[in-house]
Amino acid sequence: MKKDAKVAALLRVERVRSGPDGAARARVLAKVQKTLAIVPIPLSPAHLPAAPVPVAPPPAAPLPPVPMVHPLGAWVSGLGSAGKAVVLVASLAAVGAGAVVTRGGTSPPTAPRAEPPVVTTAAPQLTRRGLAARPLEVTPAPERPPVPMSPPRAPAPPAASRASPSSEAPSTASSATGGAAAHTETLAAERALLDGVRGSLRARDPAGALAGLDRYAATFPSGALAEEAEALRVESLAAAGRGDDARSLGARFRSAHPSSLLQPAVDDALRSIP
Amino acid sequence: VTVSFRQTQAGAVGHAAAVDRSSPVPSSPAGVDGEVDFTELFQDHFDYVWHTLRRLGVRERDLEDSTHDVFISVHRHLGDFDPERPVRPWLFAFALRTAADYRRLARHRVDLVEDVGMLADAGPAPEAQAISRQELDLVARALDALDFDRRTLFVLHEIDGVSVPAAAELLRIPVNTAYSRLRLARADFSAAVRRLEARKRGAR
Repeated sequence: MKKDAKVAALLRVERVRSGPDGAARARVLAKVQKTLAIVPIPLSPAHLPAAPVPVAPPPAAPLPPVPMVHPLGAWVSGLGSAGKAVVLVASLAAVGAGAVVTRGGTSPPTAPRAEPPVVTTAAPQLTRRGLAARPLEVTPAPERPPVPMSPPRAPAPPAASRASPSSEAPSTASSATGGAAAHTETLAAERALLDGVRGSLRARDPAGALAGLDRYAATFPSGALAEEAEALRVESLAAAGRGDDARSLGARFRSAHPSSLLQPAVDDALRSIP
Repeated sequence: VTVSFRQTQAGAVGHAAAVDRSSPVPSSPAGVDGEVDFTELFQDHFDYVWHTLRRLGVRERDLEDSTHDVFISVHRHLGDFDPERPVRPWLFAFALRTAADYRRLARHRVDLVEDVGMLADAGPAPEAQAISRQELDLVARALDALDFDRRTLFVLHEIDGVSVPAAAELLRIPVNTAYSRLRLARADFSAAVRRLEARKRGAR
């Protein structure tokens, strides 16, 4: 049939389309690296070497990232995209090593974010790199987050705060940088964290989501995306079967953000409570 | 803290191969030591993620941000990757999540097709050179005509070539549902192509 042939031809072409130009690729890579360089990697005991190495206590003040020449640095600057060496591999190794533990061998973003500290197989090298590159931030694997009914922080709506370099002090993550750039980076880190939370929710891992939100609250006490975080918390509480908590935070959300774009999502979550 | 930075080039090569071809690496599966090389993954599959997002309705001007978001998620879950499975469907799931979130945002709902005419590829692939820009747009527009669930399955199966059972597993739907949804998606897509072509002819 002619039409089918037409469709088949269109699809054949679509399958082999080339990607965007190299500049777009380089920009995205640079941005990814920038984000990853400052996303706080939670180092639960699960990320530590198998041998019973005592966990260093979290430093009172966050250490500046250890400057490290990244093995891919040359390649990166070859692309002309990154002016500075990026601490990248370390963080991904840490994430990877941790997540491996909980892998069920099934489909994609199902990783529970809160791994219980029971690892014995994580590769030490990876872990050490992770430890070294990152301000040590030991979060106890938060399987059972406290009922964190933190009062709404009345943040500026994300869009607005994205546009204006606000003075909200980024806490740990960007202490080594400063100014508007830091703000952008912080925002990216916030987004990444909340993205992980959403992933947990989608993977039906509300405990992981709540753990991620606790991490968010601890890392960005006055984060620009706090509103989104609160909405996600309502969803997570509802998903975790903590209906009362969800409802009460939901009510608080409504009064704190009366015209929030996220209200429909919050309402959906509340309606889903049996 | 004493540090030993181990250079990973040597290991990375093997793992990248494992990632790319999804062949099991018996001696040291990437999943065990967590050494899937993220940057190689990025390089190898950037185009795929980009196109997948586009096929799932992310607008051209937002593709860079969304691709970034996908790779950040991928990075966070790198350890979940099972080197015995093909990497693209795994990446697809991340792209799907990002695209779905994208669509949920009210500010994107209004004009999803608005700038479909300014697709900014470096250029058509060799095989595509005979096909006009307009025809490429046709695919995008026709996809836009599909309901999101159908579109997702259609892209996964018809463009990425993932088998229906595998797609069903990835999308967490029953296989029978997938087959019937795919049938509907194909019908929708063909109808949309017909409609768009008729409109094109009418406009001439």
